[in-house]
Amino acid sequence: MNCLEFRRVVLEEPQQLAPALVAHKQQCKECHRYYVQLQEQEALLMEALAVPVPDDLAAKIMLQCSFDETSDQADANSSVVPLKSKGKTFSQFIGGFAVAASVMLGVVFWQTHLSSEQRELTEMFVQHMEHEAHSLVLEEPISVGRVGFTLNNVGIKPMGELVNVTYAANCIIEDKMVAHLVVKTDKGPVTILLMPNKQFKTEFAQEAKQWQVALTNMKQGSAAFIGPKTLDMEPIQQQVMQSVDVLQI
Amino acid sequence: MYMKNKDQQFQALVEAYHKPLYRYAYWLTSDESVAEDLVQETFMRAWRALDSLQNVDAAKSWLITILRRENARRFQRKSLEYSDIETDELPDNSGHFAYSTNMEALRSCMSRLSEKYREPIVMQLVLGYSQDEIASALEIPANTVATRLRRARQQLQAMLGGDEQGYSRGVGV
Ligand SMILES: [Zn+2]
Repeated sequence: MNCLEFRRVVLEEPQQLAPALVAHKQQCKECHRYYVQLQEQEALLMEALAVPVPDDLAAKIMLQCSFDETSDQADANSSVVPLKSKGKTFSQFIGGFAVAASVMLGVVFWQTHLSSEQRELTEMFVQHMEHEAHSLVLEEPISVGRVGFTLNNVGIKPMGELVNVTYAANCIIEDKMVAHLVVKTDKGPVTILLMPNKQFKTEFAQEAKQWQVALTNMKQGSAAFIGPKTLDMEPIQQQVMQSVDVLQI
Repeated sequence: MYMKNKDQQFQALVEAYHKPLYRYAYWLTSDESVAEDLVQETFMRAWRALDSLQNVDAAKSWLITILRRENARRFQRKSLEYSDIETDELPDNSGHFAYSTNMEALRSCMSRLSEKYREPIVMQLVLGYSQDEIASALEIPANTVATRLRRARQQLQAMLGGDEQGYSRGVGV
């Protein structure tokens, strides 16, 4: 790979560097500088694209759909909106939204019952991590802006203290948006799933395959840590738990 | 992924996707109230068709598809054309793309990008789409997506005067 090729390809997707690009960047000072500058620009671009979303949009959507269902029920002959019957009507379900239109969608309590469910959760977290396996092999720390963007999407204030973050993405776990981070350590990658919209009942630590999984409650929601068995995860857990600041909900 | 019932499933979809969808809609339309309408209309249609959604993991691309269709419908009603803007016609803000650029300037440059460059980069950075996902959503070849992503960044740099800093020098396409 030459410099021209590097600069062409890196402009297509600065967030993800293929191994050949990483190799070139390590050898070429000029391209390394170019890339660092590009990363800063990407962070700014991310911030610019994240225009403010109206606070009450979610509530408005729920409200609008409840009216849709009400009118549908009023007109039994209507064949426009085929809805299956349910126990509780949607309008009853979202009654709270009608009262406070700007209310944020609430924290969901997830029932966990002792070890079998802990095992299931452990498996689910490991599975999620393996589903995004490419995130585990990244070497290069990503920009602070990129991490901040990911955290911001789930209402968490950026953590300046967290270093060596090589991956940051927003994922859906059990229908809740989470922040998925990977931190590089000398013993291997540690995956951190910050789930401010999800509260688990019990905290636990389990092992699965070559991984150890720990679930901790945050002030709001929960955080899962998945790291190599050989690693002492305690310092990273502490660092994250001390600096994480959930802004919303 | 299991779902207890339709209401919860829908609430989860709204919670998870209304923000990225709104931002995507905003950059498609450059208009806050149109974006809001589009997102509401999208979720309304999603709500009505929720029973036909088999796989909740596919919900994101399903919602994007609905939103794009709604936007296209809007264009049919009011045929408004985005024009390709030649970068050399644009005012030179003569600053770095980097820290001296304020958000407003960057946003204004974004909205002046032609739609064919703007949409892929918004899909990449707002929706977190891979190049392949963008290709299938826009029904264009993956190498076209790559070219557009590259040109989008080059045009933004050019608009913001980044060229003078040697930022995209030597990256002729
Ligand atoms: Zn080089």
